[in-house]
Amino acid sequence: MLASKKALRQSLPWSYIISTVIALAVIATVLNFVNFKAIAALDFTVVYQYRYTFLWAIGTTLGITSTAIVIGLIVGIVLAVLIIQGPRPVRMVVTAYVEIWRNTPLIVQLFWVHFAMPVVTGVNTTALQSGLIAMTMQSAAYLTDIARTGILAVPKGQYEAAEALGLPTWSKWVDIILPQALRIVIPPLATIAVGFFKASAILSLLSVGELMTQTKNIATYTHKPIEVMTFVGLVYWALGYSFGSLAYKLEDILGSDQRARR
Amino acid sequence: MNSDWSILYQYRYEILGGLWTTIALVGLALVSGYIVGALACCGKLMRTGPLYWLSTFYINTFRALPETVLVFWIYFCGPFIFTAAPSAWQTGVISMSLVAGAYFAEIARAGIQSVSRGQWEAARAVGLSEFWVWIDVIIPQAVRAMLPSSALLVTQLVKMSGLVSAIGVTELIYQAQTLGSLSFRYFEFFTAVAVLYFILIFPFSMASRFIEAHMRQQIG
Amino acid sequence: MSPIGKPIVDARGINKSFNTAHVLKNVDLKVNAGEVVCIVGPSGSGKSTFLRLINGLEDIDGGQIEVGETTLPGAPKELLSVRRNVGMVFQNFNLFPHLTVLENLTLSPRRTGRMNRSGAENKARELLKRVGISEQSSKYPSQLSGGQQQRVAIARALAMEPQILLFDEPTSALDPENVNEVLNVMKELASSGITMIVVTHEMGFAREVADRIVFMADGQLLVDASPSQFFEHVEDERLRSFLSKIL
Ligand SMILES: Nc1ncnc2c1ncn2[C@@H]1O[C@H](COP(=O)(O)OP(=O)(O)OP(=O)(O)O)[C@@H](O)[C@H]1O
Ligand SMILES: [Mg+2]
Repeated sequence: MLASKKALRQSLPWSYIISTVIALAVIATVLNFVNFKAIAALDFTVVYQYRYTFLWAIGTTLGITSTAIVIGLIVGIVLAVLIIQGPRPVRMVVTAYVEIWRNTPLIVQLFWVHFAMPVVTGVNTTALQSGLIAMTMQSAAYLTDIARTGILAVPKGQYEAAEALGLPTWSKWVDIILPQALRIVIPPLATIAVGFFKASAILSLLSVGELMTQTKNIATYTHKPIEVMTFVGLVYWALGYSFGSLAYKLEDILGSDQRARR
Repeated sequence: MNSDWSILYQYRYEILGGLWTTIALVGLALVSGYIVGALACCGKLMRTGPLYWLSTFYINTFRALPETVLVFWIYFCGPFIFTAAPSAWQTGVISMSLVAGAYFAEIARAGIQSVSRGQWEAARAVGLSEFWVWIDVIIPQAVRAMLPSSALLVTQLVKMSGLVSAIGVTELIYQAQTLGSLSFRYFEFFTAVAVLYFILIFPFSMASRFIEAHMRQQIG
Repeated sequence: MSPIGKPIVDARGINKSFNTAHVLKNVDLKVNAGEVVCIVGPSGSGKSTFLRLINGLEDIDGGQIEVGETTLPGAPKELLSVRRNVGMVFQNFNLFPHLTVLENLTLSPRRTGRMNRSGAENKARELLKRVGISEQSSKYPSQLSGGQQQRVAIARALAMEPQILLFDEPTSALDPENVNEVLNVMKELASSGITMIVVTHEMGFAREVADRIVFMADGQLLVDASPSQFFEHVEDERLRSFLSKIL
């Protein structure tokens, strides 16, 4: 990878001039459309004014995301074990569930849970409940796949060793396989978690009450959409970025840990 | 539970219209995303200079922000900040194109950097000029490496397209909501729409998985 | 052809560094037309780097190399003309995996305008026959064995009709049973009179084929001698210890 970057750089000396011209042209075109009077009149005190609402909303977003991930992980592990070991009909049902929830948009799932599911179950859910259910069901589907990959990545010798020791099935999974699989899946799990944190903004389409819902409310109420939405964009960016770097760190630590153990 | 599926047939033109809008949105976003993304990828490959900084800023911003925030930002803030006020449809196309471009730039960069150093050296050693090194050796191999993630990008864009219902673009979800509230037949409409999305998305994720497995087999 | 007495490759005072590592230190080497020169030495001594300077895959930090009528470092145009006059065979073959064997050979002659399609293909078939794989011309590299791939790579290097061939450990990545088929092709080339510079660990090949053997260690060119001198008469401590390890 790194070496090919160097090979690549040799290829590009003349293009710096052209690229600079293109960059300036793009910037000039955008600036040409900017209404500078509006920018001069921006008033970010509105953010401070609604700080408690924002904090509460950020908390709600984080709460929804982590609930969906934690429950989804537990369900996902169970489903992954079923896909690997369950009887054929069970495997097919679980696979169908995973494929359906991975291959439809969250927003459709959200509306389906909120508007269509009550017709089947007869139970009406609040917007927040619907949001939680949809997010959890989708995270379960994604995490089943990840858990499955993790479990299959555990070397076959470990299964054989567990069986040779005569361990009962549950102990084989809980003591031997899952702890090792969990290590492998932590990096992709972190990526998924960041993805779900971002995706939770979709819940605002049902006015679930998380960060983006409140953002729209405050923006409409104060007539200051630029200040409010730019601020919230920064919040999403900063939180997502810190989770992302945290995931990299975790990957580093786990990676070096494994190298050390070898 | 009593369901009445004939209502779908009754409103088939509205549903098909929504489907068409969704496909058009994704198609337009893909085409302009490829163009913007290729440019941003070139910027990234420069490794310094104004186009590199601009591309890095663009890619990082549009990949990190939730798509919902982007759509609302462009729709609600656009008219104030810019001298041009995009319509709902334009907002949908612009925001989806920008997101597609940011992701495609990264896909293309990863594809180009996946071509090994030995290929660059061999291409130069046989006496090809830089132009033909790119055209004959690097790009064909990079495009192959990009196929799985490009297919996933399509699924991601189809999924994103539902968001622009929130600003009033009459794609699938907007139609399902409107028709559902008119007839109180949410179950039928949302189930039908979910099936349509699945039909749009599933082939691309299968293709991605298939190509990836195929390529791994060829290498291994 | 270059006149007698004027070397076809003339490297003078070559220096090369990667970051803080001084990899080549004042290396001088002259190679006459038609000579076969083998470069040997311990790992990391700078053999590959030196070879890659000769066709401009790395930039020269100090000194110059005359290759044929051209001098490096030079303008991009001169770099191209050097590369078209110098063929290179890599340790890992580096065939183009998305092109057939035939297309691997015809790519450069066609793109550089040296030959038209049918001319390039005829030439390619002739070369494939020469390296003994005329049956595989429509296969892809991944369908060939390592030895066959390396022979294709040699044919590709010959396709531009270069005056000079560079080999960087051409048999190191091969299974033992495939080594000889490649060495035999190289021996045939050597006797055909083309100039060859070969980095290798195959001492038997060097002894049999080389006109001169050059020993590099630590970025310096320590010994430059005929094979018989090299193996029996040179009293260099580092060369002795290198040979005792490798033989
Ligand atoms: N692109 C590079 N960037 C940084 N260092 C490099 C690069 N290429 C080579 N080196 C360093 O230069 C030194 C000489 O490398 P070179 O490949 O020329 O050795 P060599 O004699 O060919 O060894 P070997 O027998 O292992 O192939 C080594 O220490 C190597 O690590
Ligand atoms: Mg080497």
